[in-house]
Amino acid sequence: MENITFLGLPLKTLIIVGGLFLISALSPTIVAIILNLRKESKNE
Amino acid sequence: MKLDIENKILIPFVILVILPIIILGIVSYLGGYEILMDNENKNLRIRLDDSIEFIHLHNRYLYDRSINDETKKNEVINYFKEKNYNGMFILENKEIIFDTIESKKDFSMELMKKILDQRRGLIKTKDGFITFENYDAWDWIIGYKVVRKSFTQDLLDIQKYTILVAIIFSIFSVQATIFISHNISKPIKTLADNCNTISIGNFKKRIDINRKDEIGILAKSFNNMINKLQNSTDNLLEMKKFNENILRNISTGIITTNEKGDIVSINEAAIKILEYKSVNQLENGKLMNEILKEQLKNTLINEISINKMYTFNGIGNEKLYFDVTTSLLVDEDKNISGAICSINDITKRKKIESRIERINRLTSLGQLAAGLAHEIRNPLAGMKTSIQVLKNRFKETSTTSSKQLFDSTLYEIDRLNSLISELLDLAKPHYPKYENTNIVCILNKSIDLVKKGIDEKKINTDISIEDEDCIAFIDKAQIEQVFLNIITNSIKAVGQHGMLKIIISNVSNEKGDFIIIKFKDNGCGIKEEDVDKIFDPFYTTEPQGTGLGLSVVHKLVTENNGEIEVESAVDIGTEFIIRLPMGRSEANEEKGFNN
Amino acid sequence: MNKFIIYLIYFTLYTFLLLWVGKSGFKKTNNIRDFYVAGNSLGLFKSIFTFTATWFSAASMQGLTGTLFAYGYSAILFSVIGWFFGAALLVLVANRLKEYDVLTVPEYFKYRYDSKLLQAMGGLVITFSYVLYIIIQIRGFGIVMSELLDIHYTIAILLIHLFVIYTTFGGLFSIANTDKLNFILIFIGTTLAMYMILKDVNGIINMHREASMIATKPFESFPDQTLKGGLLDPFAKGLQPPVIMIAGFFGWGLGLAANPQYAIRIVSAKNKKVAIKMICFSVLILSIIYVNIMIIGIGARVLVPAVGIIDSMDEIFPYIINNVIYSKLSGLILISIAAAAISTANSQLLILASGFSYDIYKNLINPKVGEEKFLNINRIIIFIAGTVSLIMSVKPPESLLSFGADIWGIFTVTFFIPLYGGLYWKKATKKGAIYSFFGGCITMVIFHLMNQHDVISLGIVINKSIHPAFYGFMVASLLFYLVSIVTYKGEDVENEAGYRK
Repeated sequence: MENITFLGLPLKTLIIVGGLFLISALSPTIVAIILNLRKESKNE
Repeated sequence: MKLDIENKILIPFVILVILPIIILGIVSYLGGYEILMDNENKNLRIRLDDSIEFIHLHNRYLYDRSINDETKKNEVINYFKEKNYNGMFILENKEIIFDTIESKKDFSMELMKKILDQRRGLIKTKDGFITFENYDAWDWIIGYKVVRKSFTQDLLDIQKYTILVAIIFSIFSVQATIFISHNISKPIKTLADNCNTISIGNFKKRIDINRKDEIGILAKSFNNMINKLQNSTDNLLEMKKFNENILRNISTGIITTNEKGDIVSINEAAIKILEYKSVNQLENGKLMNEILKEQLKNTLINEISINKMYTFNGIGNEKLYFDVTTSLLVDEDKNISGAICSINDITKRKKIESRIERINRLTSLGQLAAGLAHEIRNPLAGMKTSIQVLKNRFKETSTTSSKQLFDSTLYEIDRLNSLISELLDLAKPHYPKYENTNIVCILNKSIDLVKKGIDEKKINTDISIEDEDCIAFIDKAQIEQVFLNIITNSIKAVGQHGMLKIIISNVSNEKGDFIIIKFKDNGCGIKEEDVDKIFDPFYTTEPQGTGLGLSVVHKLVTENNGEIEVESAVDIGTEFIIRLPMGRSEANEEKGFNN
Repeated sequence: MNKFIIYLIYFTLYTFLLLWVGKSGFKKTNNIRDFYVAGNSLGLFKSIFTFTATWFSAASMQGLTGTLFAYGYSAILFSVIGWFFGAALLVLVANRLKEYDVLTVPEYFKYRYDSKLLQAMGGLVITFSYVLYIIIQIRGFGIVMSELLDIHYTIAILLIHLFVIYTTFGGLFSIANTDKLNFILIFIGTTLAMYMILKDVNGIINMHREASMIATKPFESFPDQTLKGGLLDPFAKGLQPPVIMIAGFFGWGLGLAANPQYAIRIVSAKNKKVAIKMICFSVLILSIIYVNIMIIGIGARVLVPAVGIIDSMDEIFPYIINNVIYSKLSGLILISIAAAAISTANSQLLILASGFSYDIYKNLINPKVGEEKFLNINRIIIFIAGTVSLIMSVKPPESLLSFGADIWGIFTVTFFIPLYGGLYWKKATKKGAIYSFFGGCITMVIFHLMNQHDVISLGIVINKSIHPAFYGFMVASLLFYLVSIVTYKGEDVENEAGYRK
């Protein structure tokens, strides 16, 4: 696993740093969507 | 783009602030440039002198040895090559024999010629200058070319902080100017905005500027002004509202026009009258608004007030009366600004007037008749007695024809007598005895009395009672008489298999509670022009009639605090509508008596 | 052309552009609501611009680049990721805060908990901590300006007054307008720098390959030597243990989630929908810029594995741009670095002014102060606070910088619990909020004094132990919950009057 790379970046780094970076960048949007869904279900 | 006050302050001041700084910067830069150039020139001059000196010494030193000039020259050139003075050149017979000039582009023939002509001195070129000197022994010209670029770099290094400081200070000054101009213009703008809001009509708004300077004073006095303005506006508005209320609630229709006759204002009553009446026409087919326009025009043209009454056909046979007055609108300075038109619905007044007129007529006629009857009655009694005596006297001798003559005379006298009684009855003051009476009972009794007539003509009588409460507060005998007379009239009017419909109902209006009894037949009807006269005594269309029946009816109904109306159309039928006061409860009865 | 002249032209153009753009704010500002929150009128685009520009500070631009340069990708784990998660929590604030008509976050405390004291305390925390925040921005600005104009750092920082005081004087309208310009510059600047560095290192794959070989000290005075492969390791081969994630989250994530400079952008947004969208889109846009920053940081290290002449990580970005990959566009990039500091500093200065003038002065001392006078008081505070920060940043003592870095967490321990608890927990009480506020604050100060820092950069501190904000947060939460439970008097009583759903 150590030797697998993507764009020259080790896979472990890609998953931990890149993955968390992606999730965190999308987290406000996810929260907003959840809020919206909850509001809609309450309205119904 | 229109400049606001902020920019009007800002732009000139920014220019005023930046311009000196920029000019100062440029002057300082150019000054530095001049000094640098001067220095460079001096340095070159010294170097040039040194070079000439070197060549000269070389020439002199090698003079003794019999070395030829060419070798000497070559040695000198080699020396300069080694030194590699930037921009140096040597000319010999119009030819460059040595140079270290980087760009030879602008070393033109023209320039060469100039140098050769001058032989020594300084020439300025596009990108710098050339300084040169001749060495006549060898027919050489030695010179240096300086490119301006080579020392602007140095100049920038020296001047860079000056430039930076100039820029920073101009930025700072601009910022300060922006801020100051904002601070000056802001209250003025606030003032203008507020004034604008107020001028649009928001009188509630007050200028909120708390300053002690001129702007503060302006704002304060403006607020005072607005307060005063608002007070007077409020008063005016109140007055206006008051006037509007008057106009709105008055029953008289009021229309005003300008001097051309176009309507300027119209109140609700007038609208109502016009709306309601516009379908109904005058007898000559004109509409209400046309009439009004005409009258207004007349007023405006002739400058006079006009008062006219118009009669309109209302619904059914109803007539509507309007009193229309038009006059000029004249202001304080006697200028005519238009016309005003007031429309009064006088239908009710007209009705009352005609009723009073009828009653007066009836009363005077009744009195006349009663006086006459009284005067006739006594002689008539004498005449009757005399005829009876004469009849007895000539009993034996008289022939059948004479006897018949006596009898008929007596009959006529009796008839005359009964007519007089009836007349007296009409005129004699009655004292009705009011009591709660069931109208239906009286009605049935009356119908029973004329049953014979009804049966003969096979009249279809139909009584419908729409409301349960049929108790009226009346004189029983008198109303029975009323019903009897009316039904008799109807029987006379209808043909065989005629119809008589009697409807009893209740109504409440501002005058009180009434029982309405309608007698509707499909008889021959009454001519329109005769309708008004039917209640007059002696008015009759029948040769045998006395013309008193309906007079009595009218009198009795009136005496019983009732009203009677008639609507009739020839060949369609007649309808009598009688309104009688409704029966009183015991409490009311007492109260009534007490009153 | 001369490098200096090119830089001077960029500098002059930028300043006059900023002057022009900021000027319109003066006109629009009529009252204190306009001044603080732009009359609650900002649409989506303006909100995104001002949010991102305020977010992207010298800490992101220079601090993070420097940290990436020194430690590699592990820097992302304890900075950006925590910030982004904090932004996700801001969405929760946006969801409820718009129900309150407030001009500052401490004013919300006053309404929610019916406590003038809490508002004033909030104002005090803001005033104190923002002076330190602004130092970070001024330092970042000074470093880049001294590179740009070839002047001494001390003179360079003086120039911040030219940019920051002026824009802040115009209130949020001015700041929002200049933020538009600044953010565009930041975006272009980082993208250009990324592109230029990527070209010089021959592409991203090559960059990573070379980065994995580096095993030097990033610069002379740096304490740690990079281990081979450490730049690409998520934990820098042990130089940054996973525990720093907790520091990242508690120190910055929660701090950001309660930081008034972001919460106030929710208030200034036109409505709730715009506020939520603003946060979501801003974070997405920021993530693009952070990718640029990552490439700049790592790429710079590949280009110069060991820099000779610098003293701190903060100087790396401007140094590389000015010296290693110089081109005619370098001036633009340097200006964009300054723009990041300026756009954050002016927002922070405005928050500071509101914290002092509105939450303390108007709240406690003179509630009936007139509008125009109050605006001028704010401007005076802006000038004084700006100058204080400026003086302190001439030669900021090491201890101050360490405190400045830790102080990010102060909003975690003071504002976070009363803000979120007040918005989402009906039973939160005034006493609960006050105890939590003080308790959290005291705990954090104690742990801060006990704590050891290793390396401090512009607002980015690398803790080898747990961030003091973590302890403060725990104490604050506990106090808030317990005291509220004890003092809650049931429904329909006073303490609930401020709760709005």
